[in-house]
Amino acid sequence: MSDPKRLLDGGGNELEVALLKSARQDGPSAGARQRALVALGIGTGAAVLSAKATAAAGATAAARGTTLSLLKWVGIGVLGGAATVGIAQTVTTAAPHETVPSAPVSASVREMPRAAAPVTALQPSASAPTPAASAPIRMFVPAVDPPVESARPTLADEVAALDRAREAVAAGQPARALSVLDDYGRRFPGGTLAQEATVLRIEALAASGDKEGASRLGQGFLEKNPGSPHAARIRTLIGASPIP
Amino acid sequence: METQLETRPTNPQPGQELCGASSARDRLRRIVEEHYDFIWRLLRRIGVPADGVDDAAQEVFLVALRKLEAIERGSERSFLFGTALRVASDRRRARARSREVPTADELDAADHAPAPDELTDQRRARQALDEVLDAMADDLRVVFVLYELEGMTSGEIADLIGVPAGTAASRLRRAREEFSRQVKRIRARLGRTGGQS
Repeated sequence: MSDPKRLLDGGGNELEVALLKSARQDGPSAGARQRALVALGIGTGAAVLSAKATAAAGATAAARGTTLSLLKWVGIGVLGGAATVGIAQTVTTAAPHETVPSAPVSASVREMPRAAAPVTALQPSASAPTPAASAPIRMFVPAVDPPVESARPTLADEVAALDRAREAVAAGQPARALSVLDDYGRRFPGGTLAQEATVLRIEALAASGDKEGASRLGQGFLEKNPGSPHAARIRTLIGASPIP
Repeated sequence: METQLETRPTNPQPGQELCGASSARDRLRRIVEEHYDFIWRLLRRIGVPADGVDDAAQEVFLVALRKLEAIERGSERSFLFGTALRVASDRRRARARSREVPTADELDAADHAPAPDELTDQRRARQALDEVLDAMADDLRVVFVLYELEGMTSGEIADLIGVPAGTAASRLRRAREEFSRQVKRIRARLGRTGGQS
């Protein structure tokens, strides 16, 4: 059973061929793949993210050093075998993708409102366990050169703040961790990594001896986010019964 | 194509999460580099509007990132394909729900039905192609796109979508018939509306 002659190879009439040929002009812009890599945290990190280094030294340094950190918070859970954090990073598009020349990828990863559809709805299998309440959020990396002087906090800033809190918890300094987390809350209201910040706060409270505060915060989190990938960790922290 | 995320401890110690991440990161990068263009074109041709394809493609690879350990080596393309179908389906449904807010492409298409000579214009031709493909059943459309536009054989398509070769061949035959039917419909419409232009 041989395959039929393809329409574009002479098997189709003029109009059919014209329509099909038009699709050949349709493809990703030259920078789309690279932006996807960056958004996934595996772009040519420093090279790409530092493209604007001289213009935005501070932000760029954070972004460059943050490629791995972003992976840690955004998706490294899977890579490293831990729970997923459940954040979708999405690159904004440069409009039409019909052989549009790509623009340089921005240095900064920008924070955008929590407006995206949950990525969990896109899981390959409806039966696969999904961190349903992980509140996926899209992060937008500008597709074209944006103003680089923006003072808006970036995801890199959030990661850096939570890293400091995490280090404090790990160093047995829960009070300092709580102070850092208080600062995080002020700087990033409704932050992308708010769930992770809450987990760290519960850890810090528990470590400081405030079991009641940790339990209260943990129970509140579990009620709001029963399917969060952090749920098991929180149950452990507050001594709650695991879900059978 | 069921995939399950492995159950693992959810409390990595500081730094632990980077262990083994390098090879996983390399693998993910290879997956993106090898399959991004294919997935992008596929999404576009199975109904994702042009201005949403970058976004949809990233969603596909984000799912791959989150399921990486569950994706068998050698079956990455199949996983991405299945994920792309679901992403596209979700987006089509979302678009259908917000039909009262047509996209720029839709407005343009509605306001400017192509005349025959305009089909030499690639953009108009693409709009017409979208219309034809949109009119096809999903299972036929996918096979048609893979065969006619991606240049896959019916055997490769059968492997990719997980059906017997005979089924793939049958779908391809019906898809080509349907495509021709839809193109004739467009031609007839153009004859009515564009003959005088």
